[in-house]
Amino acid sequence: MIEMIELVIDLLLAFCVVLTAAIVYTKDLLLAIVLAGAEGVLVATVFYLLLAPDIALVQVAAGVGISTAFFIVGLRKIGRREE
Amino acid sequence: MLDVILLLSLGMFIISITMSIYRIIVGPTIPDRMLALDVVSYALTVVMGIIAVISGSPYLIVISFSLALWFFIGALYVARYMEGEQIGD
Amino acid sequence: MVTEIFLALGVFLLVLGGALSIIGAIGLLRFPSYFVRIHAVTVSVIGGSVVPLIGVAFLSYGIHGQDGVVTSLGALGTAAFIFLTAPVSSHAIARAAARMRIPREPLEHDHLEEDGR
Repeated sequence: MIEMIELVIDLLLAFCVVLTAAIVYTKDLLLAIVLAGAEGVLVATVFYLLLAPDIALVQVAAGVGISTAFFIVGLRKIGRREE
Repeated sequence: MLDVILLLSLGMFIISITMSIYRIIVGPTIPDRMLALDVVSYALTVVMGIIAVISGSPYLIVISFSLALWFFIGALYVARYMEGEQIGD
Repeated sequence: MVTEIFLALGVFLLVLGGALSIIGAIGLLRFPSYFVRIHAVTVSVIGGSVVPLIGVAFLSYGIHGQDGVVTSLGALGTAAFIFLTAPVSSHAIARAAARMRIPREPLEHDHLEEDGR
């Protein structure tokens, strides 16, 4: 059972690497915000599977909800496309 | 027997999450990615519930409820921004 | 006796939810455009998240007895919350996508344009 959960953790971290590469190479800032939200969900699940539920609670609130809201408020000021 | 069934259903949800991550990365437009992120978030909610049943601790189910709540708020923010902008892609 | 009924019901709902989640993800991969993919996501969210969370509630009470009541009630609350709010967020994104002119391949009628809104 422990080996299965470790395999799940490795798979989610591999997805995080791919999503981070996509965030770095994109030119659309709204797309970068959506991908950052997806990565926040995955990282929160990794913290949860490592049995640290308090850190997972903070990571869910900050990575999915609050950072998305703040980045979108900033995105209204600076425009969507990156040159 | 019961552990095997729990791990089998965990594997099924992980397969579903893998396919949805593919749609997040290559999806053509932003609403496609938000749709796939919907599937990933709620499937991870169920994964957290299965781990809470395996572990048996009463403190672990709170994160599942919190993930559903915060993802709802994030999706509403992205939808408000896309509806206000009204240009293509 | 009640414990065996709860375990059987929980295992059935959990495996049914996993199968529906995989079916919805296959539809999400293979359907051609956004407004067709909403159908697959409906199957994958309501059938693949609400149903197995109810199964998780039954399983927690069946395995752990009185110690699993908190997990059981939490899973039921999460299922009710997803059942209420997942259509709201999906509808908000679909309305924004209808305003954004994204490509819609098998298009026969657009009642939103015919009404002039």
